[in-house]
Amino acid sequence: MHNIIEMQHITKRFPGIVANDDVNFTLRKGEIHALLGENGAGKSTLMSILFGMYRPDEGVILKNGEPIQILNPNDANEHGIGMVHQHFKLVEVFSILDNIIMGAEPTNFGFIKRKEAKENILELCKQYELLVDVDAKIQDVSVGMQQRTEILKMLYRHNDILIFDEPTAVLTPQEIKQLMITMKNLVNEGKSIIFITHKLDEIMEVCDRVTVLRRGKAIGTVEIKNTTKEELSKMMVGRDVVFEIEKKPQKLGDVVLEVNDLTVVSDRTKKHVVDHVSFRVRKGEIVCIAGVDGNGQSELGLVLSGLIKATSGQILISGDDVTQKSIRYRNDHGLAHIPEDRHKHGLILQDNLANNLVLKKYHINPFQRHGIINKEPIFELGNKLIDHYDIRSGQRLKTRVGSMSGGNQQKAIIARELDKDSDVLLSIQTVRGLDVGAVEFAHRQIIKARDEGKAVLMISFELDEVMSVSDRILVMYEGQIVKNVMAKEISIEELGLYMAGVKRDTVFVDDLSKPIPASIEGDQTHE
Amino acid sequence: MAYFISQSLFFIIPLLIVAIAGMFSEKSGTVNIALEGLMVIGAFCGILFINKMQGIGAFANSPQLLLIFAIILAGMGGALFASLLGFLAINMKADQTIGGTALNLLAGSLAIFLAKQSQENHAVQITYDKEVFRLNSDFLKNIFPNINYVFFDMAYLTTYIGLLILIIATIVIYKTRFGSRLSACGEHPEAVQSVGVNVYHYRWYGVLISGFLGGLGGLVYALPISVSFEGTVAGYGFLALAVLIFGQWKPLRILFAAIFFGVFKTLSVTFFGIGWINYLIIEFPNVPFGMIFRMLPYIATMVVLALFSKKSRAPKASGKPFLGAAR
Amino acid sequence: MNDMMTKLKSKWLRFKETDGFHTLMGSLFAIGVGLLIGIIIIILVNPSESGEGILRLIKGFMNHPRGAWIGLGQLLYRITPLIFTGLAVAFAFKTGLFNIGASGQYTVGLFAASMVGILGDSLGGFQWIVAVFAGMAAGFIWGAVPGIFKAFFNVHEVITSIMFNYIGMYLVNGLLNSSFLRTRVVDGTTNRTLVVDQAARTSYGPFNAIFPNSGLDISFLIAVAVAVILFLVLNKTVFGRELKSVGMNRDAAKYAGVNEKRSLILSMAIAGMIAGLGGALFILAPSTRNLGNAYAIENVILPAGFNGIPVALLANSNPLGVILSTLFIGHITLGGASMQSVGFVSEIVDIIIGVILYFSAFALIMTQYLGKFKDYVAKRKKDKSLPPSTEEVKEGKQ
Repeated sequence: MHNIIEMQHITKRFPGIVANDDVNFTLRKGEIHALLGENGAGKSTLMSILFGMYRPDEGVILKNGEPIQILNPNDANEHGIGMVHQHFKLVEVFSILDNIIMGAEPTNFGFIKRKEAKENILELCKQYELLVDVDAKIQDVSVGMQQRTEILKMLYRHNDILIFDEPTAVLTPQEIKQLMITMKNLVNEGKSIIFITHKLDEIMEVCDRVTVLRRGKAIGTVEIKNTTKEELSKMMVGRDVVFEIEKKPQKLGDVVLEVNDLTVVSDRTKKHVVDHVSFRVRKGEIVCIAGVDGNGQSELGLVLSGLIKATSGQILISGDDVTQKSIRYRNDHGLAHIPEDRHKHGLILQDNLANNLVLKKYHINPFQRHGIINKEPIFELGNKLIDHYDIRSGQRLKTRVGSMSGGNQQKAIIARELDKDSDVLLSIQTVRGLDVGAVEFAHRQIIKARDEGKAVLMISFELDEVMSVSDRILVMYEGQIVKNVMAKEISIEELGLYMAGVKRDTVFVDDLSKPIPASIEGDQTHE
Repeated sequence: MAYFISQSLFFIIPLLIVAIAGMFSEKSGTVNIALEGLMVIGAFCGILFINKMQGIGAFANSPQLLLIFAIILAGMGGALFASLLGFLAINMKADQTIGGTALNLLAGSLAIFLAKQSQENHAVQITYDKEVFRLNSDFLKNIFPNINYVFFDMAYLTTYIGLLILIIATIVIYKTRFGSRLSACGEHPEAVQSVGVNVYHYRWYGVLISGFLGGLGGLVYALPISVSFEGTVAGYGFLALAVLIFGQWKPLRILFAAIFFGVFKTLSVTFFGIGWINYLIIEFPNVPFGMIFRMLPYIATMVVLALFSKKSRAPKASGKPFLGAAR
Repeated sequence: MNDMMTKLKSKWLRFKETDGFHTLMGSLFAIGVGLLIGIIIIILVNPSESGEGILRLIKGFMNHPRGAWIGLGQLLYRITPLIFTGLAVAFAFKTGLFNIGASGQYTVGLFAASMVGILGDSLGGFQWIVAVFAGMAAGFIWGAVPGIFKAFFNVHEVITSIMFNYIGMYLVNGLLNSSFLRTRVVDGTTNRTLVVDQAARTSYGPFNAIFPNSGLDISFLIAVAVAVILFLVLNKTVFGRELKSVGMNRDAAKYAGVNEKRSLILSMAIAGMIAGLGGALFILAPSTRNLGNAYAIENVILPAGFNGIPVALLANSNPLGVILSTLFIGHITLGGASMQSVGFVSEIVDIIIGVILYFSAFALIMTQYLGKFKDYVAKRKKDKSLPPSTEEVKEGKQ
């Protein structure tokens, strides 16, 4: 086994931070090598250097023992290095074909030879067993197929060194298994793979070696067969990590959120993205809607908050039918909402922290009198929230929210929503992009709200969060609820089956009338 | 009828060209509201050139050649002027709306200023003889007299140039590597960069092409409709913007939108010549037909836009400065 | 005394922190560059007279044949319509809307007021106020329609506003040419509207005494008052805050419960109302020697609306700033007019304004860079005792 890639003494600095600090990393030919670390540890930076998107301040890169210069993605490509990015770099309105060949189009006097390209791509699909609809537009295909397009991009360019940046974040457990198989196929065909992730199970399953980064430094490299999950996570965080969250037993109260036969039909695709969904949430419980991104959860969150309109069905908060009511009405009558996209909906980035903290209250007394804004109460509230929730900012209330870190931005949103003391807390993707400390904080706050008798509805794509924080789980697949179960009574594997649509139950929620087909088990490997 | 078509071509063709100019810019990611100014600059350059050349009697025997040179000059003037927008939007990543507005202002005042400076008596109007440019051909006169009238007699070379531009633009955008990469820059520039293509280059191409076509379009607009140029194109650049949006940034739809608008516009100046409308005018003397027909192109456009804009989809990254990755 | 100095100093320091300060610095930079280029052009075009030309440009309103004082009055009179259209554009910008339709709104407001002013004799003492409200109402409607199209049909307001400029112009001209109105309100020989009745004319107020025969009337004071009101509305009221939030982040405003559709429509409608008010006050102005103003019936869109755009942009859409930018632009425009008699084309001033506007876009960028730099400094100022969280490590990479 020889080292096909060696990165030696790589250092990369950004204003105020050392993203990579004297990092050494080697990749053997034909191995699957994991790069493990938390958010912000430096994994993406290191690989971006390898892929030519950044240049290191210090250090060298060797290929097959020879030093090479990688100044841009073209150079990386020349050396056979390719990357599947975490956020797909695909043009939505282009076909899969056009996306794959972009930058490497076969041409005849400037005219693209699409037929020839298509033949070549179909060849690759066969060789590596990757199924894609070459002529479909990216915006119309599933996430899994989009990812396969990214992989084909690399294969089309004859890349031998393949970097996968957090590829499993958007896949079902079944799709993840498929990806593992694909990776093993690639390695059998002579490729070498670097697998960036923070998910230990996947590393244990498919990798040969793992290098752990923490706060920009390389902590160590170990063979998978010689290590355990616990050891790896300790290397990753630098301390013992508690996998379980302590929770008091539930104290259930009345039903505060009631959803009946809720349906949302998409204007564009005419599909039932939310398909006759019914459920209840009571005071004192945390219900989490689990599922793979793209099965209607986002739309469910948007329709509950009022950001999109329901096509039919009912939403009741404490018995009050709010289905046709405005967003402000819902905000003022019992709904707190931590949105999925904190930059799009949750905050006004150009505005200061004070105004953002009072974003849902400025229109009521005492924050305004006769339409005129009252600054004093706003400052009082803002300062109270900053101190109570430990929101870090440069200039406290005057800080431009856009300059705050993601974690503190989310803290601000959580603070604002919890301060509303609403009966229902709707929290979507609460901890996306947050580091371990902030995640802990957010979960503690949510559990506290639940203990104080609030009804909490979470929507999450992180299985760890789903399993550990929620009392009860609802699985959503293709717009429908296919499973209703207490968190303690189901395993992750079984959860995955429901998430992938392999299994489904007839879910009875009180007087739900529409029956769902009986369990369908068996092979369903198509997209 | 033939007269009607012939007249409407004078409206449709420049709209088409300038809307396509806007398309190249926006498809590559730069919002271009300076189409008006580009037209002014182009018309100015072209017509001044023609004025001077006709003044000294050059090209007397080959007026079409003069026209071609004037067109190239108009385009180059537009491209040069557009580079001000390019610099502002692409290199400095500044506000494209303000930049575009500034350029519109500058173009108008610059054109009048230079006109006054380069003519005796500080006259604003630049006159020229346009009749020499008419094709005046009898090519098909005996077989299809009407078609001959429209396309070979009353038309100018510019009509064909306009159609040619449309065809070339369609082919470039859909069939060539250049067009594919250009479009990608306005949709998802990060994706383009990640495959090693230089987004800045393509955005600059987009702006320069936009300038060239915009300037060219200005000349094509100004030449047939009058005998002098006074430093304005009467809001045509903004109409082209409407046509661009109406045409959803696609060449063939832009053609349709230009025809739609051009027909209404022509109607507004020729309606009294049309038989049955004339009859209505006589029957109902109190109805302000003139006013209605003049307003019609604009009202019609608004109605159509209202009906079709729910699904309007501009190039996704258009108007957003490309920040590039830190190095 | 010391007390007052400290108070002033702290106010100055606080002002330095505001966006208003950065805007001012940016605008001054752009103005400097623009004037420089203008001076260069003047020197190149006519070197011998360039000294006089530059002098006249700088002197602006002071060039008035009857003296600087009268010139000031004339300046304030001339810029009044511009303040209104500038405010109309600026106000809409705060909600994220580009009101390029100020001309149409101005024109219909002018028309409505003019009709009341000529035909409304029976209103007696109320004729003026009714005319003013008529103008405001017309402008309100003319602004509301593009707002409605944006809110409900997702049609870009630039296009609808431009369309409405034309529709407004053709409508007004068409109505004036109709048999009914032509005989009553139009002067056939000059093809202009008649001047409005005496009872409908705006009062000179004290200005005819202060600036004799400059034409200045109290509409200037109204303009300033409107600017102040808009400033207060935008910064101190809930309504203004909602409008601004829609302009900053339409989605977040919606999430916060703001009725963004209502905000968009009202914003455009109010902007239209202000432009309409400007048009109304123009046609109702007594002008110099109480001769009144008239509207020429030509198929040309009135430039007053378009001229409001650079005014608003230069002031970064700050209503108080609009007053300053109008004063400046009006000043050099008068200078430009005066330059003509020494052999310079007045378009030089328009070029200067265009250049200033172009560079003000740069200035805005510099302001943003300045803002980002301040953010960075502020981040460093944070609790230095704690090591940076992994969050901040990640943010630093961005």
